[in-house]
Amino acid sequence: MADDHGRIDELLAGFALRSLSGEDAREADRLLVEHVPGCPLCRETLEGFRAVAGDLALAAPPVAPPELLLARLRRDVARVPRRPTPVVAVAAGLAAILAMGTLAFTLGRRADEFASERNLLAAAVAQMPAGVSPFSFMDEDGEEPGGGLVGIPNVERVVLVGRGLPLPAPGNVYRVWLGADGSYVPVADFLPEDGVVVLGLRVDRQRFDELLITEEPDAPPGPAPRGVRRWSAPLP
Amino acid sequence: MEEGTDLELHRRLREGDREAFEDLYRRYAPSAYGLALRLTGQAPLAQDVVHDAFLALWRAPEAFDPSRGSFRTFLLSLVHHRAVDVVRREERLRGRSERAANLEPRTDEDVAEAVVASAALLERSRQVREALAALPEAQRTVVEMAYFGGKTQARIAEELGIPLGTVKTRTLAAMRTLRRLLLRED
Repeated sequence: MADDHGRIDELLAGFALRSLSGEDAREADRLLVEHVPGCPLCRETLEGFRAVAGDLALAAPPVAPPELLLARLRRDVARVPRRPTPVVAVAAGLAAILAMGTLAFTLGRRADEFASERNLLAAAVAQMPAGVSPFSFMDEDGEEPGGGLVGIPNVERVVLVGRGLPLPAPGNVYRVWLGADGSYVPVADFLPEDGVVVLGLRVDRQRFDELLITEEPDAPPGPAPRGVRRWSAPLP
Repeated sequence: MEEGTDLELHRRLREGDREAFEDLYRRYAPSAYGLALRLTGQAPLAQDVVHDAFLALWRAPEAFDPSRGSFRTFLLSLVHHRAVDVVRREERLRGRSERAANLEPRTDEDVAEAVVASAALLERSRQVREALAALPEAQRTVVEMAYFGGKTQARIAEELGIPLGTVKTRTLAAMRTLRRLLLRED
């Protein structure tokens, strides 16, 4: 591995630009889990490429957004309840950013490979200070979703990993809630991309004991789930 | 200096300070919107991208970790990721040729540059453009197709009619040069 840093750098450059696909994306994901965290050279390279990618945005001519956009944001911000500080949800896009430093996964393999994927993910998450034991979600019929949806718990974090997930109905999103005693707090929305979702959630286990995923209209969340309950799991 | 202000605004944002949120919006919305427009080619889509990115920031400000880089990098990366997602989703929904036309840079955008109040941002923007311009054209093309076109390397190779390996080589060379030029001046 160490002798192939030219090849790794190619993947990291493509990863930073979000331009990898297929086997290259999967190889980059593996590297980000298995090699980069323990390789100072690669960490430095990745951070440098990330910084470049962030700067490239400034090459686009700035354009004043319409005033209506701020008004729309003000309206939605007023409707979005702020969570207490200990609870942090990371939507799929954000998770991708977080993943650059430590974790990045693309799951697109056959179902019979899922167990090994899960082990790989578990091993990665284990880099955080606690042991892990993935837990499965159940749908409303008490069955696991066909493609696989697991949570990988840690002390304050759950990584939600799903593959083979169907898209919600047009105009809808999947909404993740943390719950306790029948009351819920919305923490993230996601749409599976090619059936895949990877979502990092920070969870206050003293406050919550359940993770619920509903299908809701793509609009700011209300104070409680109102859409169709799709999957749920007790927090271990 | 500006980053220090960003960090202070972010600290207040974490406490639910809407004024800090709007200050960050006013500071970065033009860059974010310009980027989203460049990628999506359509104002409604670009507005959705910027809206969703800032709303995500409001919902989860803790997602920004100062130890991982600047707030500007974080936010604009978030916008970029969402815009790429939109571009690829739209590509799946629409014909390639229709969107390809929309991806052409808009000729009327430069006139809006005055909307950026921050001299530091303007200066950084100039440095980035100069760094891009310093790249050999073949390298600049693959970077722009990837970053501003939202295209995968495989797609770039297909469109340019060159081997995938060449796209990778050019991308890496370009990113190394950009890193050297930009981080030196950061």
